[in-house]
Amino acid sequence: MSVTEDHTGSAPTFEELAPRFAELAGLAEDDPRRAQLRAELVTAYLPLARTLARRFANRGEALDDLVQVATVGLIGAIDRFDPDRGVDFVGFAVPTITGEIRRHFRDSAWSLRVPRRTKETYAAIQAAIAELTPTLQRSPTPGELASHLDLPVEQVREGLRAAYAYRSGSLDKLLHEDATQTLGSTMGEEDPELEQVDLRQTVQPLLRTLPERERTVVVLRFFHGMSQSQIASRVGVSQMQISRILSRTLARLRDQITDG
Amino acid sequence: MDRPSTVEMRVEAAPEYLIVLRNVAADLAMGRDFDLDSISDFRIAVDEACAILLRLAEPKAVLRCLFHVRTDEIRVHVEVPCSERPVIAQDTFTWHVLTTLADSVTTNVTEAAGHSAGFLASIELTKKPVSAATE
Repeated sequence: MSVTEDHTGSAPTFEELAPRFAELAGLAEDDPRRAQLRAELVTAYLPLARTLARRFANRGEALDDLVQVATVGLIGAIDRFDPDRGVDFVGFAVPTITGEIRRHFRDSAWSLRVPRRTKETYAAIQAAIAELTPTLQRSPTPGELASHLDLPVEQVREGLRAAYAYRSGSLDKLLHEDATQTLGSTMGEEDPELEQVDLRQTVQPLLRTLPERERTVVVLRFFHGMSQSQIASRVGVSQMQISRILSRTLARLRDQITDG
Repeated sequence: MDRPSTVEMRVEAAPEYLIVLRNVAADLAMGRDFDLDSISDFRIAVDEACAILLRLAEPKAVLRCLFHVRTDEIRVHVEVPCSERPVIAQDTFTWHVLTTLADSVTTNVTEAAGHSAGFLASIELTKKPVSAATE
C-alpha cells in the first residue's frame, strides 16, 4: 500500500494512524474536533478504498462511482471501528468497504435495468415461492403465484421474465467470493457420489474450474438428481438464483468444452 | 391428446441468438403454467440443445426451432444444416445435462438431398411439468 511505503512525505503510516482511532473514540459525539479527525482519517485511508474499488472495476460500473461507493464504506468503517476490540483498522475496513461495493452492485443491477413495479413484483414472487414450495412439495406455477398474491398472472409472468433476463453477471461474480465461505462445508473437494458416475473423468477436471458454489449447484442438479427448489433450500438461496447460476454455469462450461 | 399449437422460429446459427430461443421457450412454458423448476429446466434444455447444434452448423446456417405446445407437454425440434456428416455425441457431460433436464431427448441426422449443405442435424426434446403429475 502506497501509504505505508511513504515515509518521507506528509502522509502518516497506518501504524502512526492507529492511536488516532482511540482519540476519535474518546471524543464526544458533538465535539467539533471529531469532524476534523474523521476527515484526516478518511484522507489517510483513501488509497485503501481506491485499491478495493479497483478490484471491482471492469464489471460494468465506472471506477469513479466505485471509488465513491468505497469511500462511503470507508467512512462507515471509521465511524463504527472500535479500537478496543483488538482488530486493526484495515482488517475491519476491508470487509466493510467491499460489503458496501457489493451492495452497490446489487442495488444498481436492479435499478438500472428493471422497472420499479417489476422489481416489487419480483420481491413478492420470491416471498410467495418460499411460502408455497413446502406446501406443494414442488415449485409453484405462475398461476399459483398469481392467485396466492392476488395479482394478474401476466404481471407474475412479467416478474419472472425479468428474473430470467436480469443481468446478474456483476452481482454473481461478487457472490463467488462469498460462496467458498458459505458452502465450504456443504460439499467436499471430492464428491463420493460423483466418483461413481461414469462421466467423472471428463467432468471432474471441468468442475474443478468452477467456484465452489457453482460446482455444488451443478453437482446437486446433475449428479444427485435434486430439483432446483431442493437445491435452493439446501444451499440457502432462492430458486430463481439457482436457475440463473445453472444457466450461466452451463454456458461457461460449454465455452470451455468448445475451447478445449 | 389435445392438438398442439405450434411456434416456429428461424435464427442465424450464432450464439447471440440463443437468448431469444431460450426466452421464447420460457415464455411458452409459463403460458402453459408449468411449475418454476420445469420452466427453468426447459429453458436451459433448449439452450443446451441449440448450443450443441450451433457447433455442428455450417457457416451462415439458419437454426430452425419448432415448438409444439400442448397442455401438459412441450416438444421442441431444433435443426441445423451441416456441411459434413455431424456426430452428436451422447457420452458427454452436455448430453447428460440435456437428458437430465428434459423428459426425453432424441437426435437425428439426415442427408439433405438437393441442398447445398449435405446434412441436417436435429435434436428433439420434450418437457412435462412436475406440476402436471400432482394435479
